[in-house]
Amino acid sequence: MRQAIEARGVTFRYPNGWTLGPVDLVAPRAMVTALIGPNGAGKTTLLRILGGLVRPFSGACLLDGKEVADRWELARRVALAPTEPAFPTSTTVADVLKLRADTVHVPKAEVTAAERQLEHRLGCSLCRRPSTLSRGQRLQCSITLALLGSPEFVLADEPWSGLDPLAMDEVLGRLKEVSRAGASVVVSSHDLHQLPVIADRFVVLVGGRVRAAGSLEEIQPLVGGSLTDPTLILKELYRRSVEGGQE
Amino acid sequence: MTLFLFEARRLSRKPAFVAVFTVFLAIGIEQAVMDRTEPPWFLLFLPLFVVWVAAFDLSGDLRRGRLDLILSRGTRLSRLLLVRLLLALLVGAATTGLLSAPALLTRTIPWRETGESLARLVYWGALSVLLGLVASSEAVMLLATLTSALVVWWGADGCLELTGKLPTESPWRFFTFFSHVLGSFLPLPLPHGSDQAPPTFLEFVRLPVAILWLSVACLWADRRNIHVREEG
Repeated sequence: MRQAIEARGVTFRYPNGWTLGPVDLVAPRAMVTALIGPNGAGKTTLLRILGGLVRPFSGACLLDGKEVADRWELARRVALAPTEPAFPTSTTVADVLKLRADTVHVPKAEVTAAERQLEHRLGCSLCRRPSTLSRGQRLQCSITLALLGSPEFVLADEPWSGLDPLAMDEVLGRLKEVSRAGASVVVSSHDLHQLPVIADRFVVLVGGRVRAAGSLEEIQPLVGGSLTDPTLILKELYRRSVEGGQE
Repeated sequence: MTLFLFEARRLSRKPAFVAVFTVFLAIGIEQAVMDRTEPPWFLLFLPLFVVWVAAFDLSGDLRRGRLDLILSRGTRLSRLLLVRLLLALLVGAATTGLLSAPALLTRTIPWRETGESLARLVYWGALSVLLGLVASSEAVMLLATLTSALVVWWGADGCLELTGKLPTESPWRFFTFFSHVLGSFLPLPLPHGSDQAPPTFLEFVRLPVAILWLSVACLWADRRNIHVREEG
């Protein structure tokens, strides 16, 4: 199993005292790793740390086994699709897409194709102000931005939450496709029905700590071994982890 | 360059900025053409526009996570700050050049004065980039206006009223000078040529201070978590 994105003893403390970690997480290449946990478990914070947008208090983030101490280097190499994609003021989707394409040196043909696909999905021009788009539409823009230029490391925070079924299928398909191409993909979601469709490994985060991690086969014995339905296995693991985390 | 054009496009979509700047620029051009003996008064307030450009939406965008999409797989925050400063200085320097050109060409104002104007722009641009990380551009403009008014008042009457001494007399002359350098976007309000007044070239002291503010801003942006939202 080739390690791609790794968090080693990562901690973070908010001004309100809430603490994440220490967290150890491994997201191998060519796999989708699902991050599950209740609201406020630290999923978004962990993804923002792995994406270089937040500097951890302690611990290290590694890419392909090498520590990346400079968080901006991490941000440059890891694509993050945030859960609440917010565009800078006074911009258009086309502006941000062009900036991203130029920054990561995407061939023009690929950019044009991505623009056309996104326009088709959104059903409107990319020159519209992002504030006039729905959250679902902004989420699709965010996924397109994250996957532009075939990144090797992708973090997606609730990427299909609130999307219509067709858009959701497309996002699931695109994330799976990227991971098949060799990328390391980490997805955070509350959707225990869809996660087994896309994810190869699961990590349960409760109260800022990892409570369980592994593939379905590895976590099945942890929940008794009698369950066979992937969603039920995840639900049971989730329930036990949350109850265990509260004790 | 891409980031610079991105930020320039954003600025051009700010209707309030475009409208106010255009009106002031038009008045300034008319003044420059009609009276070539001195630079238009608009140049005195140009640092406020530099503040506006350097700091617009920076703090709000950071606080609301609106820069995530351009920072992820994009640029480091310090680079964005440098681009903002560059854009602000370009707006300021181009306007200064345009409005000062008639007076400079007829040699009715010395080049040194234009140099001092540019030094003020650099200083306020750098300071605004730093303050813009935590405050809105409107707040920074208000701060600049208030501190400038205070410094002018201190130089005109305030020091004499409060201390019974002139602002150019010891021990107040250094306070007067540094409060001016740090807090005013207006030219030194002290009688030039007086033995007790600081020489005007000391306006250029703003340049190393500007480098200090800019370095603090870049280090803070790159090394600290600014506006990390309180969520788990």
